[in-house]
Amino acid sequence: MYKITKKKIGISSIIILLVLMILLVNVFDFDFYLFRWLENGIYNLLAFFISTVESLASSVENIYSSFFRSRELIQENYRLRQELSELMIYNISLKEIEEENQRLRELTNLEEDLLANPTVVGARRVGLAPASWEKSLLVSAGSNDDVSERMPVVSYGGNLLGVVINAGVSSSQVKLVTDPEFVAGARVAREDSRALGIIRGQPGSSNLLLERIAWDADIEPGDEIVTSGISGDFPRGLPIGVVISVEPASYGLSQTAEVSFNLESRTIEEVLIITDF
Amino acid sequence: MRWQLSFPVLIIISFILQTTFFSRLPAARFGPDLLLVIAFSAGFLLGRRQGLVVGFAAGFLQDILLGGGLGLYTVSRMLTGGGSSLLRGKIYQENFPLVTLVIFFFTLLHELLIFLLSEQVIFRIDPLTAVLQNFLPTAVYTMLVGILFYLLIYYLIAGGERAHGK
Repeated sequence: MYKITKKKIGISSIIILLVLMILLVNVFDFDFYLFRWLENGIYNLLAFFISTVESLASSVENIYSSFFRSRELIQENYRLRQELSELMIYNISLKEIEEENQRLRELTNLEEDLLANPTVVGARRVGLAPASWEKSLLVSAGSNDDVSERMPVVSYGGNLLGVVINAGVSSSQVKLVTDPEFVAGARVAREDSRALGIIRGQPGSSNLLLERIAWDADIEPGDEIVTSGISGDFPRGLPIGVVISVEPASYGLSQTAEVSFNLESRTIEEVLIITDF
Repeated sequence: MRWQLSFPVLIIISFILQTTFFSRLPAARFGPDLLLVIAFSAGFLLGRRQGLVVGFAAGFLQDILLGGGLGLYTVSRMLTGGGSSLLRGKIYQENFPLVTLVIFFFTLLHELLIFLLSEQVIFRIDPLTAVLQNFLPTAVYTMLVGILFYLLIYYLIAGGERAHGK
C-alpha cells in the first residue's frame, strides 16, 4: 500500500511551491528582485562560458582561413576595396541630396523623422538560444557597451533583425523577428500605398506575417515592407522583407500578407544594435 | 564521479554545444534537445530525486537563456526527469535500442507539452503541421544524437554495468 512519509510530503511541498512561484512569475508578472539578481548572475556566467568557446572556435576558424583561404581572401579584399570606392562616391552624392532635402524641409517647415545619424554598436553572434519555437540570438555586446533592453537590432545590410530582450554585462539576448512573440508596426514602402500593418513572426516558418492591414489597402506581392516607426520602439524605414502573397482575413474585414525574411538565423554572424535614434 | 558534480558540468557542456555548435548546422531548428536527454538520463539511470533536480537545473538555465527565468522549460524538464524515473525497473538500462526509442517518445511528449503551453504558438499553427514539420524531425534528431549522450552518461556517470541491478 502507498505510504505517505515525511520525505514524500517534503518533496511534494517543494514541487507545489515551485509550480506556484513559476505561475506567479509568468502568469501574474510578479518581479522578485532576488530572482532577477540570481537570473542575471547565472546568465552572465553562462554567457561568459559560451562566448569563450565561441571565440576559441572563431580563432581556430580564422587561423584555418588565413592558411588555406589566403588566395580567396586577397580576392575578397580587392573586391571590397572596389566596393568601398564605389560607395564613397555614392556617399558624396547622398550628402548633396541630404543637404538639398534639409533646405527644402526648412522652406516647408517639415520636421525630420527619418533615421538620422543613429548610434550603433557592432556585435558578434555568440549563439542561438535552444528552444522549440522561440527564436533568439546571443550577441557579444551588453550593458558595458551601453546596450539595454528594447533596443532595435539590425543586420549589417540594415535589415531589421529583432530587439534586445535582456542585456547582460558583456552579452545580450536578441528576440528575432521570426519569433512567434515578436510584434512591430510596419508599412508598405511603395510611394503610392503606405499601407500599415503589424508584422509578426510565424511559428514553424522563416517567413513573417503582416496582419491587420485595412481591407481596402493597396498591397501586392513584391511590395517592400519597412518599419512604420509609429510606436517609437523602432526607427522608421528599416527594411523587413518583401510581400510574397496577400489574403483576406477576419471574414474580409482586413488583409494579411506573408512576408519573406531572407536572413536565416543560423547564418547571421554580425549584428548592429541601435542604441540611439 | 558523483552526480552532483558531473551533471552540472554535463549540462554546461550540452548547453554550449547546443547554443554554438549545433545551432550552426543545417538542421539547427530541430535541436537536438540535449538537455532533455540529460534530464531523462538522470531520472532513468539514477532515480526520481536526481531526475527532478537535474531537470530543474537544465530547464532553469534554458529559461534564463531565453530571457525568462523560471518558466516553461523549468517545469517541462522537471517532468521529463521525474517521468523517466518511473521507467526504472521496467526497462533494462543497457537495452540501448529500446532506450533510443524511449528517448524518441519522450522528445515527442516534451514537444507536445511545450506546444500546448505556448499560447503564441498553439492557436497559430495547425497541429498536424506542427507534428510533421517540428515534433517528428526534432524527435528523430534528438534520438540519434541523444543516444550517444545517454551512452556517455551510462558509462561515465552512472557507472555502466555496475549500475545495473542496484
